[in-house]
Amino acid sequence: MTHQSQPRSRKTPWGRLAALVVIAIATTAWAGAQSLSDTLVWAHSSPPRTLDPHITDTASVIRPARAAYEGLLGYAPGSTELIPLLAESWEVLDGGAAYVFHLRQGVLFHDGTPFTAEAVKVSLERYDAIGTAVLIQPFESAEVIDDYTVKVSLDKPNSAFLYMVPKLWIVSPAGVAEHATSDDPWARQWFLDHADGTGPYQFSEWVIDQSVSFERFPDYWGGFDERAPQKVVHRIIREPATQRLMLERGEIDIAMNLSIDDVPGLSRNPDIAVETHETPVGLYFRLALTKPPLNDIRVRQALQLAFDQQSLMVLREGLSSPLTGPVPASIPGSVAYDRPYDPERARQLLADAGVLNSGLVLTYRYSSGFEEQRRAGELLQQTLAGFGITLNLVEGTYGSMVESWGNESTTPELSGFFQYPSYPDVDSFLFSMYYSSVTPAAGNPGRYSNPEVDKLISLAQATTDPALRDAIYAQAQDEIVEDAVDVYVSNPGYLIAMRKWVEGYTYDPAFHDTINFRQIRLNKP
Amino acid sequence: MVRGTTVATRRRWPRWLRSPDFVVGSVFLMIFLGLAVFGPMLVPADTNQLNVMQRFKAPSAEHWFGTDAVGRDILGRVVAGTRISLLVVCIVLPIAVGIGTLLGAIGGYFGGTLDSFIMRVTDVFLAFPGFILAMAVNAVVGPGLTGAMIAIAFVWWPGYARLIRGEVLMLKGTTFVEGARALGGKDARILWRHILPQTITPVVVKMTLDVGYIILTTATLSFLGLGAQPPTPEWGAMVNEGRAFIIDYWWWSTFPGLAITICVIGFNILGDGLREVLDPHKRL
Repeated sequence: MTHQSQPRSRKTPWGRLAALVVIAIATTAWAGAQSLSDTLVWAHSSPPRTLDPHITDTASVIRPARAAYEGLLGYAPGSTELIPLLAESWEVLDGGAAYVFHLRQGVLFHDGTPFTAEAVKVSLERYDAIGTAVLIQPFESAEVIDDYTVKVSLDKPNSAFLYMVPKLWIVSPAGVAEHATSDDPWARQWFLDHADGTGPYQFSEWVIDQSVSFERFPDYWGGFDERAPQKVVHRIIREPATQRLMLERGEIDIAMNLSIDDVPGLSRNPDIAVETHETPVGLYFRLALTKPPLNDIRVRQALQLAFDQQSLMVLREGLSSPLTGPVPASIPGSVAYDRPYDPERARQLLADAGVLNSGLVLTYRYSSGFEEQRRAGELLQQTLAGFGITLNLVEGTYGSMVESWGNESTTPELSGFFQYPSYPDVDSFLFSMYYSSVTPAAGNPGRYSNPEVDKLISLAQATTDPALRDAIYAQAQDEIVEDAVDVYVSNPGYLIAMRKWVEGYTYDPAFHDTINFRQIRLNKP
Repeated sequence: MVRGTTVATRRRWPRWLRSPDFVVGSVFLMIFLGLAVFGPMLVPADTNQLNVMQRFKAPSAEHWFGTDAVGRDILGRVVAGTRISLLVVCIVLPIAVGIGTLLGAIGGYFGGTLDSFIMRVTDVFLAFPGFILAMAVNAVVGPGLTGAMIAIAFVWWPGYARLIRGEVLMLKGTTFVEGARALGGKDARILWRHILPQTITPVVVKMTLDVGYIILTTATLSFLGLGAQPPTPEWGAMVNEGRAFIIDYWWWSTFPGLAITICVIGFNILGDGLREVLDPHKRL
């Protein structure tokens, strides 16, 4: 390349602009190669912070971990029906306070050691010691009966326990023992960026903020179809628009962060399939119940009436459905309530409470990257502006929002909040969001405390008769709605886009926003 | 450029008109000032009004720049954004220039330990990447336009402190200052009446160039979610909002992006032109 020498005295910005344009065009024109034909490449915007599935139940961690780990039970593809996985059968004892699992034989861990009852014991104890409190809460002990029989005992009967079992991931006791140190008896450090389970794919490489790769575990007990991917690679692609371009070019096979507004454009590409699914997820405005003026129930009722759910449905182009109560309609045992949009009644209630046109300023915090949370806030903001109330929309990371809940004074009046049920059961909503002992950070930012609701939830957990249990939970939902605890925003839909050469994807409601790698087949050229 | 013209034609045109940069830059300035002052009268009154049935309309006679995901007219919001961007400049620039001038003048005029101290503080600020510092300050003060303004003012003054100090240092030794001192002028009076007026030229040129950069910094902070919060029609915030939709609905990010580009280039050209007009060494 030759450089024409330019007079240096007059520097105008035109040169800089031209350079920028050239760079932009060059970047766009750069075409990456299609991914290898035996590799499944899937893109998501949020990277895992660990590969250890015991530490947290966050989807960003479970997404890659699901390739390497399995539970005693699983869910049938696309449903919430329990199926045998590492356990071939199970028995319920003592009215739901103890469970016996008969384990599958001939299963190997990625380190080559066999899977036995000891592995279940170590895994559950590890969970109990370092893991997700909500999942393992009633755990008391795991007892090895023989090599392939294990008994799990709970503090008290919990009718929802079996639904948690698919998320109690089994790790290799040999792996834990080998990498444990005196400061770190559970080998947290090693499992942070390694994996040692029984799953179909074993961990191979993690390039921070770029990709996490797994490859076939040749001794997998379930065997492999020849069209099953040799490798599964998680690419971390932050920009949805970049995911879109890479999917269109075939550089990635699955894009997980596209929006409903991409659908018209994507439908022009015959090689791409878009699937939308109903979810068990609820989106709420969690209200700061103890903070004035929201400690006045009339203000909370007014906020509920001021939220225009129908307009949000229009903005979501039919992907989301209305949320009609504390629990989304797809969860068995949920109760639907009438949630009208009635600005006139809202105005009256605010006038009664003395805050109409008072110059009141409320804060709504929501998490970056969740368009629906933002749109919902904009709709409420508009209605409230008509009442002389300012709603400030503050965007931030989910982590910073959780931090703000730690203190009542820093808790925003409204928080955008998704409840992804840990297990597909009413309990996963009512207990995790409304039980008084649940800390603000764990899912109760409003500091809701109603002894009657606590009593009903505890009672329902100890009830094994499904009809009676549902009746008790229904009563708890009535109480919660009566107290106007939250604004019910929507039941968001789920959208996933993939190349048509990917086969076997199912949306698993209990594993929202993850992929069941065991099921995936590739027909790549 | 002027070589071919005769002395007579040169005399007929005022000096400032003979700098094309200055003329072009002034036109930009007029357009942006005009939009900031009168723009809101030309577009719908409430540019934040949601209209869910009008979402993602492509540019047309009705919506010149199209509409966004919640059906807001983008032309209206870009025009409304002009006022916000210039407002930020009008608040940030005087603060930065004020602090910078005060510290620079004191340092340069009195010298000694005080000067060293002020300049070391300035160095610390200049040594740190300005934008990163602004992000940190904005995050601490809290997201929002006010936070962004505080953050930008906080990182912008050291440039002026350095500039003014240099000028004052140079002017301090000149004969007219020594004359004023010999006549018994007090320090404050000498600084204010004799020295500072002489520094106006470089400061004005730098200020003009900074207008564009401040608009760009505000837009960048808002783009990152730190500056203007929704539904404020700030350009950077709009580019950010539209970013995820750029493939199918390109108009959402593109028009506010163009507004930033044109604005920054416009003020840059004006700054260059102003330098040509005011710089005695470049007098045409």
